[in-house]
Amino acid sequence: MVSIAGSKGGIHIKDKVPKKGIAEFVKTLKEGKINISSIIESKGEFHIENIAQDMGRFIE
Amino acid sequence: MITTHEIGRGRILSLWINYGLSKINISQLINGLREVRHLKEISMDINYECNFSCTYCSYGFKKLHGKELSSNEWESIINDCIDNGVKLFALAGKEPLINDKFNEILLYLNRARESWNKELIIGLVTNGWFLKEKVDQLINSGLSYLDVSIDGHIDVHDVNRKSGSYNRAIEGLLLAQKKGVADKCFVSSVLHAQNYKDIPQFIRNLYSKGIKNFSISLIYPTPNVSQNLLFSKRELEIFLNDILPETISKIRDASDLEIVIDIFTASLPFLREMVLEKLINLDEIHIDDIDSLFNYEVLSNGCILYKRFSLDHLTYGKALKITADGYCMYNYESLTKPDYWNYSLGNVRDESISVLHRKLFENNAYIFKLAEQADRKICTEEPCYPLCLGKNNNCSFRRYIK
Repeated sequence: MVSIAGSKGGIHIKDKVPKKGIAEFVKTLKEGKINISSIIESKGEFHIENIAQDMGRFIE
Repeated sequence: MITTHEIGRGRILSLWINYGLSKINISQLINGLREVRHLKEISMDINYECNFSCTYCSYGFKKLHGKELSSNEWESIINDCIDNGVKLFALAGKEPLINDKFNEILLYLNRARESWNKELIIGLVTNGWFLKEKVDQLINSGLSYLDVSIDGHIDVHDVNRKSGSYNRAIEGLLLAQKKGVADKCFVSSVLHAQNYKDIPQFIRNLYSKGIKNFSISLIYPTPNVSQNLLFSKRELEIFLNDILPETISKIRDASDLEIVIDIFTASLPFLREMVLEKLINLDEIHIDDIDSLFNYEVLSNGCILYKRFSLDHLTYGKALKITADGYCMYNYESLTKPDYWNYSLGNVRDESISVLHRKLFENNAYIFKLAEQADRKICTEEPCYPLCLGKNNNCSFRRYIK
């Protein structure tokens, strides 16, 4: 038996292998390349600040 | 600029990571997932007929409780699902190719993709028996993937299913691949304690015949499944870390070979265990367009091994199955019940998909029972698979109690 949707057609990514992992995502966050404050103002329900903190702790 | 969708996906990763590291408890995990829940996948049982009668079939009922959904009814369900963000539709059943109903539904899904969402993923899951004779009907059907279920080597498969079924399925799949019926054609197999040593060689053999995509799923422990098929965690480790990569690496050039190992995390303690023991590599975890979490490795011969962690039925609610009579199911165990409708979220004839999906979190006693037990770090007294297999001697919760 497989997952409730079958094979799901494998992994759905644009490239053959993914370019980014969490470590790169955190690096991007830490380098300030993402304007977090503007995201909070427009889409506050996602609590982006928690992601940064959580992932920062994880990396440390 | 990162998109809203990507933020939601980042949040999901963050929750699972913190749960795995015991920084949050299961209630916090579930509450967090509720905030970002998205229904992404719908498995559509377009009929309730099958030409096989496999002993391990997950369906525990002989006939449908209600009347089978018509093609017109499926069309309005599809509309409703797309409006609610569903990205993947899998035509399944018992056997979707046993009659011609699939034609109308695929045609409609294709129109929907052209009109509303060009990124819709459309799949078909079949036992392959009718594939060769139906393959021309599937040309230009817009299938993103075709999934043919094979149990293992020919002797194993034919005993389980029907004499001659292996060759028919493989011939059908190769023909479908040759005629470009789908973007990807998969052999889909279930991994269990009796075949995990053979599956890598089975993949090698089929790859040499021209099949390039494999989806291997850990057996799901429904009550019908015999105990001798259930894995131990150690056996899973041996398969993932030793037997599979070693066997596949012997192929000289396999740069067009993709293997997805679907690790169906049937228990949350198992998920935690996988994180603690590095079976899930958090440093390299990724998430795809339909929110599947995965790790991958590229072998020296170019073959890509993906490990996908399917969490669908536990908390996240990203995948639902609609039975042929319209009942909305969120896990396989419910399908084993003779009165399956009593275990459903409701019927799509009576309620919209968004209302049904919301119930998964609002009224589902199972999820909250699980959360309560996990928070108290007591044994659920259900076999946590593939950890203790009911013996409660390997579970991380038990270790924490000490």
